[in-house]
Amino acid sequence: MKDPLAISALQIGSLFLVAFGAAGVVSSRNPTNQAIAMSFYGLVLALMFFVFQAPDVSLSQLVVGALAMPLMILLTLGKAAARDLEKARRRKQP
Amino acid sequence: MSLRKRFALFFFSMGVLGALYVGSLVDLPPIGHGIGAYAEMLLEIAVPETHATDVVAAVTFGYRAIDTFIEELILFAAVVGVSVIMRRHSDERDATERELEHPLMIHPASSESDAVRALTAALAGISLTVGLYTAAHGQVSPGGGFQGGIVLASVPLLVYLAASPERYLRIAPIPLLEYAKALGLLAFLGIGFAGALFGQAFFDNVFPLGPRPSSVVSSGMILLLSLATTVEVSAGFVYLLTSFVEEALRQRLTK
Repeated sequence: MKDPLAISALQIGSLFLVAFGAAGVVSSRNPTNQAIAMSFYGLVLALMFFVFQAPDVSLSQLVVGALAMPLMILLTLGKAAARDLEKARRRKQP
Repeated sequence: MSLRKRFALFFFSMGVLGALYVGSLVDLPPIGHGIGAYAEMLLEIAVPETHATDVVAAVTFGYRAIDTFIEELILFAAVVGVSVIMRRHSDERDATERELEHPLMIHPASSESDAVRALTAALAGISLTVGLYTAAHGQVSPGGGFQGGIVLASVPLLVYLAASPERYLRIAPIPLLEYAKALGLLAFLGIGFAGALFGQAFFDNVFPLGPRPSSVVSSGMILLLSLATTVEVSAGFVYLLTSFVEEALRQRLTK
């Protein structure tokens, strides 16, 4: 009889997805792209927690890793870009 | 350092790290096995003792409520810190902001894309429902105040994308957020003191446990703390987002 606690194909698959997702985040150099990649990575990580039977952790990971953190990074990048634009405009019209 | 030496260093350290890593994996119990004594005990006693069928919630808002309280404090301090650095305060206000407070100011919608506006408008109601459900059912199923609070906090942002920064600030006014995040933390603390006053210890579950496990209105303190966390987390997170939305408003007005 098969051991009910043995690792399943779904779990192995989710671990591979996490590995690829992490590589994707590290290899994207543009911060905006990286934030989007990190959001996807957060989603994959939440999926992994879920297939490893930790639904509470999975939900926390989903809201923080896939929603809150990428959002904060994107908003900060937007703010920094807007500040640069404003500086450039001020320099043009003294 | 030449490229060759760097590669040598990299492969050497990877080799040592890899050997240590594999060595540390040898003695691990197989996956799914090796439950600790504390977990075994909680699985036995948590449901009859707290009436919370989600044992994780029974731990975070029950047995280890003090840890969750400290986490709330960290979040509170972080939000206050960000607002001190990022938000402009009343003495720093300029003409555009005074103009912004004028009730007759009418601004166009923030997003140019109709597809984005339609999608976010449709998602706002769904997110509100999911957030309230997750926040209120933490004691019976996975979820709870923290997760529900962040989902709820995304609702004003969806409204911002669907409508305008003005609408965002109208449904999430800054004074309301300031009071709500302080009240959430105070309620959490108050529930802890209720345990000290009427029970044996700080964060003692002295509230009625409800008729039976798996009922939504059950588990006493666990449900109440979860709701207090919802208020604190959602208000704190929206407050963080507000500092960015205000900036967007200011930029549109100075255009």
